[in-house]
Amino acid sequence: MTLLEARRIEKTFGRTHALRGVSVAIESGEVVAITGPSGSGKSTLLHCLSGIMCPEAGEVHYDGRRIDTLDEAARTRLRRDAFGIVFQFGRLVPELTAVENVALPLLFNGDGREKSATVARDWLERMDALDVADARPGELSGGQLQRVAMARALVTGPKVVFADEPTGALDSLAGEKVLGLLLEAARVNGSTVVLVTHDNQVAAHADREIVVRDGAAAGVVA
Amino acid sequence: MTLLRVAGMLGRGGSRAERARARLVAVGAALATWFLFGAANVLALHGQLDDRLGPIANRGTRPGTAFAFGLMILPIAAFLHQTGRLASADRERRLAALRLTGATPAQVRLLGALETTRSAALGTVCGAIAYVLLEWSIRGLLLHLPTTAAGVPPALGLAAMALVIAVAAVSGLLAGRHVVTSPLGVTRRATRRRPGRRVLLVPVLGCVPMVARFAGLPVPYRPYSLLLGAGLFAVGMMLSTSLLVWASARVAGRRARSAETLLAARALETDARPWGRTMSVLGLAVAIGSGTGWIEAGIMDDRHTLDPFWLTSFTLVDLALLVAMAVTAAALLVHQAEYLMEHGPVLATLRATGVADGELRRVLLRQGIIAAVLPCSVAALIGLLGLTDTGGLHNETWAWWPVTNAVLMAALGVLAATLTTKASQRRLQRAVSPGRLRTE
Ligand SMILES: Nc1ncnc2c1ncn2[C@@H]1O[C@H](COP(=O)(O)OP(=O)(O)OP(=O)(O)O)[C@@H](O)[C@H]1O
Ligand SMILES: [Mg+2]
Repeated sequence: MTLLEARRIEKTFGRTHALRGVSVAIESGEVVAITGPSGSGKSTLLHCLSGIMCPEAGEVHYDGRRIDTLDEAARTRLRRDAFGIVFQFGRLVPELTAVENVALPLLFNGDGREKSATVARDWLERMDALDVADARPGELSGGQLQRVAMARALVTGPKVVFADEPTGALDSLAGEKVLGLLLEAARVNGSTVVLVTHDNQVAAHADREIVVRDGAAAGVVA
Repeated sequence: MTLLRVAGMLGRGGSRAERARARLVAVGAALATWFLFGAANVLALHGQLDDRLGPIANRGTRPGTAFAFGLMILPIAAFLHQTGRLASADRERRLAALRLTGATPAQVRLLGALETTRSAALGTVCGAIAYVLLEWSIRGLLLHLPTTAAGVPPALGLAAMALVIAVAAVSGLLAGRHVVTSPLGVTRRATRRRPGRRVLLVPVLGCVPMVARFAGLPVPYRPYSLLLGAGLFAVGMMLSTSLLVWASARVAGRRARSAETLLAARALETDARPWGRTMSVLGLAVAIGSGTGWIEAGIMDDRHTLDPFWLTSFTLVDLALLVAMAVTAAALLVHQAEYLMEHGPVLATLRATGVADGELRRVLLRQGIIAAVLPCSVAALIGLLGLTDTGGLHNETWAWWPVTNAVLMAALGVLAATLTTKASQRRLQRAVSPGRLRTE
């Protein structure tokens, strides 16, 4: 069943055509890697698929519903309820401890402080980062940061996990480990994973690879 | 001098925030000049003037009025200090290139101070010219006051300008302290520590003479030791405000039930000093405002009507307090801009992961509330208790006013601190736009 689909979407920034009619379809439970050279529009595609941005032309559908025409509030709700997002540099709140960072989405959902902290610790343990639970982001290594960021993305049990170069700032060994943890957790959760990367080794972990060139999907590697 | 030439060159580069800083520093300096010129102007007046001019009319109340004008420098200094820090990380990043060519950190910081000083000098000169022109035209064209009123004495005026520029220079030198630059151009904030607890000794020390007097113990050098104690207490409380803000933030962070409060409290806790600085000035305004309640009640109690002299005086005092609060709020606004600039990518990330705009706005709002409630309440209480027996009320008709006034003043202080959030709304929107997800 197709869970997430982009149909001929286009996006421009000033004179730059970041996306020129990309179409992709992602099945439920799939792990998809989006690859391509730098500047080809991978991040922009991810932002459009996850409802962070809206394309200027074309359509984005999630779970049988068109999402690019929803207003900002509705897309925010969707991202919060159904999506988990991981960025390259973790982007944790610097003043909060790791466990508080992970608990944050739950707190925003109205869960109590204790309950969210317990769930957050649980996820840190699954991500093999329980030892840094009470450290602040400034004290963490790149790999630890990413593991905490992943715990934050997974803590709400999202249907789709988006990750933009989650291992981009790590060496290949740490990258493998972090990626393995993410994919394992997603599999247990039954989450679909959309992974942006320019690393072939990372892409090899995916069920399918979508190659983007100059803002258009150039091919699909199974 | 090459350093000056480099400073000039660098002045032309710079981000939007840095250009805003230059302009804001100039505005602050101009404002400070205005108030100092106002003080000098009042001191230079001769003879008795129309009663409707309030405290300026009498010879006896002029030094006090001039002092009040001078006090207005405090909120403006807080504003200047805050604006001088705006985008200082940007500046250091820009100057990091100089480090590669062999400049020392001290030299780089000196360059930063030169930039601030230059903007302040520009603002001071413009402010002075505008003041003199305006004063001259009002006196000559509107009031037809030839001899009884004199303008700003040149010596005092020059001293005032020098003072403003000096304050800006010192503030500029201090601005780079918390930024760590390596020759590689990596810039980050050094970890900010908790404000020191030793400052609490100052207000405690200031209390000693007063406590001794109430306990019936002999107090040597009576009026002076009491005055000194009161002065120490006031300054000490202002210095301790950062600690007060930090403590509020810590408690709020521990007990936070919502994500918004947690984010607000933790941000405040790591950044208590700038908030404390501005809150100390806001607190001073609240304390003075709450103290005036007794004086007003005493006079109403005495006379039952208001003659023009007192009416003007009250209005002027209230106006001055409002201006002081507004300037302090502007300083907070600048600080909030800095917070948004620094936290832009992180806030944009929260936004991307499904945190609503309204929730982020609430984070800003709660920062203001957590920072302001305790200092403003303490300040109102001090103003109320400190001036208890000055009014000397004979009957109870007006006894309700001082307490009401103190509550109003505290509320006004908190309001000033939270209204800045409203003004930051557009900036917040820009800070969390998806484009910010791209910057590291
Ligand atoms: N907010 C923006 N403002 C201006 N231009 C943008 C913006 N976002 C993307 N672009 C441009 O759109 C094009 C695609 O950018 P995008 O970030 O999607 O590429 P990418 O494939 O993710 O590259 P990389 O591998 O380097 O991350 C680039 O030319 C980029 O400069
Ligand atoms: Mg990218």
